[in-house]
Amino acid sequence: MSPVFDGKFVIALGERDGVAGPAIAACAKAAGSDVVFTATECFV
Amino acid sequence: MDLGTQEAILRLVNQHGKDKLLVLLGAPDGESAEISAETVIIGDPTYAGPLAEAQLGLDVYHILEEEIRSWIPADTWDDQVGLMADVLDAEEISTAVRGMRDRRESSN
Amino acid sequence: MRETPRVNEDDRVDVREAERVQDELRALVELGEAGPQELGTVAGLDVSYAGDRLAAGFRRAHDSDDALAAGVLLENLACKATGTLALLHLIDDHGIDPDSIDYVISCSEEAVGDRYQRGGGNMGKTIAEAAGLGQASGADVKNFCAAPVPALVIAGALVASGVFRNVVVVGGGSLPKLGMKFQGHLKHGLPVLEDVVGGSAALVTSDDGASPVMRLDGVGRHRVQAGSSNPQIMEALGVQPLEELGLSMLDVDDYATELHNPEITEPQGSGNVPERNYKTLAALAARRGDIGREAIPQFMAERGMPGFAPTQGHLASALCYLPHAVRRLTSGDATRVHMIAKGSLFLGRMTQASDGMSVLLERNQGS
Repeated sequence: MSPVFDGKFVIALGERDGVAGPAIAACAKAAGSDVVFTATECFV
Repeated sequence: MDLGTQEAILRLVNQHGKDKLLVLLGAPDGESAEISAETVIIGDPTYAGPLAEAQLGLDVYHILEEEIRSWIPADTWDDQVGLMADVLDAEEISTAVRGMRDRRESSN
Repeated sequence: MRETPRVNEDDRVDVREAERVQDELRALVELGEAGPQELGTVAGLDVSYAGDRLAAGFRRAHDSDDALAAGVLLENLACKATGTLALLHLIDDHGIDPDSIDYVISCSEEAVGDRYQRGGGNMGKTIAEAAGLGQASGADVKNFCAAPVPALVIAGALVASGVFRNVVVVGGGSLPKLGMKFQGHLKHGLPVLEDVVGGSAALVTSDDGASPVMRLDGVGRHRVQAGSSNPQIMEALGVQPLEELGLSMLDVDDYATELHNPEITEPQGSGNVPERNYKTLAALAARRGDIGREAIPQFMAERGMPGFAPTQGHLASALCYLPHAVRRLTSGDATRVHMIAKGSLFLGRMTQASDGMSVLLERNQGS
């Protein structure tokens, strides 16, 4: 497990024009982490 | 950062403690990434939300940073991020978020 | 407006009624019964001021129903007015018989309703009525900013299947998006740049041998299983419909995506949305081997365009390019225009998903 991820709960703050929340969450879960919050922002 | 999101983060800090949380960002550029990072480290720079001056000092990375990317299985990465890694300026974004983390270290 | 009036004297707001309300307000203030701030409560009005001068008053329709608050009604009315104006322009500019229109589909951003049905809607029929389309009914397509493309596709499907002959897709403007990010502009010493309420209307009709055709077999959709993965979304919208027609990304002359004017969005910190979209499409083409990586800027320049639309959401989402696409596909030299619209469903909190739809427009073979 990565030293960065280890033992942490992930908060996935995505942006529509970059990488969206659910996509970040899917990556975090695949890395073995639990995700406690997911959101995506849209600025237009 | 959306005010509802700021509230949720405060709730999670109370529930799990600052040290147990890792914020992962998906901002499309350095400027946007920097503002989000600042919000969860120092506080909402617009002073609009519940995180104004909150000084949470949370761990925050961008999904494109090497320290994060390298731990995500390649097929998931390709599926979920894929060509956005080509489209977005990973260098600019990483520099911006790392800069905010450095500010946190130096104020500790 | 004065030179090319689309609205008759009879249609305009009853000026006498407006003057009567204004006198009523003035009397209240002079009598000392209501200071400027209290006018809202006393006269059942939401009021707005230009400095000290009373600029406007809008009556709420119900004491406690939030869906009928003055602000909501003003938004809905602004959408109706701008949509109706666009529809009147359409009929006038193209010499269309109003009675020939069977159906009006609105793809606007407002929510018409009351507390028992906040989004009950049918701005489509509301606009049809205001524009005097006696033979038409209508309905709304709601899909956040992506709505124009499903509205066009549904209109096309209704016509192609013979349900109706002539269907109008109309988009009224969004009042809440005026000055949406004004703080960013003021912070950079700019005026409030988001100062345009738009309106758009398009007629979808059966093949006339000249107008561009909508390829109903060239529709891309953002499926649920694609989640929020941008690669999958762009693949579904930008590539799959072309593949199904045996075409490559290079067979499209113009891609029309989200076309927000970067001069407005960049100072407010939202970046250059069209550029990002075109870079994503170009990167996709490069990944597929249609172009080399070094040709990405050229792809963007030749098949994309600078953003030019005000930040009116649905109107900026491909729809604003439609009149230009029509010109490009008739008197111009384009063969294919790909319209790609996207919407942020997650903003409504019922889902984390976004949506999008694309449709291919082609030069008419008869022309």
